[in-house]
Amino acid sequence: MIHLQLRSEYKVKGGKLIKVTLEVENDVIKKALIAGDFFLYPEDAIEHIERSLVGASLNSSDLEYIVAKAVKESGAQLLGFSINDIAEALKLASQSKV
Amino acid sequence: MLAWRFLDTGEGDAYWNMGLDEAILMLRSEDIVPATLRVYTWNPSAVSIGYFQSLEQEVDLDACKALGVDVVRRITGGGAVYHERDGELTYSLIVSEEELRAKRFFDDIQGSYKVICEALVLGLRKLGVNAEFKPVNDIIVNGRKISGNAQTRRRGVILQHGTILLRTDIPTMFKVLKVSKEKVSDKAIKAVEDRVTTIYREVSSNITLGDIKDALRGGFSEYFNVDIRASTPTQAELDLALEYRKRFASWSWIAKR
Repeated sequence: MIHLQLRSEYKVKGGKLIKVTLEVENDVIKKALIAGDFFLYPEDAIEHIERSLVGASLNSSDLEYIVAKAVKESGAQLLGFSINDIAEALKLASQSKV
Repeated sequence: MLAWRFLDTGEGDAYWNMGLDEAILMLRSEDIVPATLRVYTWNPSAVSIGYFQSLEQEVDLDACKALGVDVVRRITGGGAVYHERDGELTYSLIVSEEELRAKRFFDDIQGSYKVICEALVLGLRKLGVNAEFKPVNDIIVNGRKISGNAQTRRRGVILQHGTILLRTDIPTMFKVLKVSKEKVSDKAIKAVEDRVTTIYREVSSNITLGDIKDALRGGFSEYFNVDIRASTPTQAELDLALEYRKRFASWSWIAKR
C-alpha cells in the first residue's frame, strides 16, 4: 500500500489562495483538506465538499464534477473563487506526485 | 425609523472578542437585540485565522507563545490577520439582510460587502483618508490595503467584521504568521509596506482611536441614513459571549483545520 500526502497552492485570479492537502492511498483519496483565505457560505459546506472527494480516484477526470455536485447539495455560495479553481487546485495537488 | 446600536466594548482578548461578535449575531437572528455597530481592540495582541485556513500552514505557534500573542480561529472566512494591541481598530456590523437591503439595495453576497464597505469608506474619508472599496473584501488607499473585512451569516443575519490599521509592526507580523517561505528580509518588509498602509501614514499619528470610532459611526449613520445610538451590551449578550468564548479558546476549535 502506497500512502502519500500531496499538496498544492493555487492562486486564484483576484488574489485568493487555495491550499489543498490530499491523503492518498494507491491513488485513491482518503482525506481532503481545502484550505485558504476564500469565502464560502455556509462555512460548514466545506466539510461536505471535502468528504465528497473521499474514495475518488486521484486521476479521475470527475473531480470537478464531484466538487460541483457537493457544492450544489450543500447550497453553498462561493466568493473569491470558483468550483473550477478548486478543481485546478486539486489537479495541481495530484500532479505534485512524483 | 428604528435606531441601530453603537457598542464601544474597548479592549478584550481574542476569544472574548470573537465570542461577543457571535453572541450579538445569534441574538440579532432571534430579534432580541437591534442592528449593531461594534468597535473594539485586542489585548493581548492576537492572530486570527479565517474559518477555512489551516492553523499549521498559517501560524507559527512557537513564535506566538514566545511573544505572548493569542491565536483564534474566526467563524468568518478570509485570511490570517495579526491584530496588534493598539495598532488597529476592529469593527463589526450585525444587521439582518432584510434591514440592510432596505437601507441600501444589493443583489448578492458580494453586493452586501460592497454596501457595508462603502459605509466604512465614507467614515474613513471623514478622516481625510482617500479610501475606496476593492472587491472581494478590501478597502484600499492609492492601491494599498488599509482594511480587510469578512462576513458570515446566520438565519438571514449578516455579521461583517474587519480591521482598520493605525500602524504596522511588520517584523512581528512576519514572526507570528507564516507569510511566505522567503526569509524575513528587508526586501520582504518593503514589499508589505508597498502593499499595506495605515491611518498614521495616510493622515497623521495624531489621529486617536476615538477619532476613528467617531468617523466610522458617522460614516455608517450617514451612508445608511440611520440613527446609531451609543449603548452597552445586554446581560444576555455578555452571558452568551462568555459561553462562546470557551469554544473559541478551545484547542479543538483553534486547530479544527
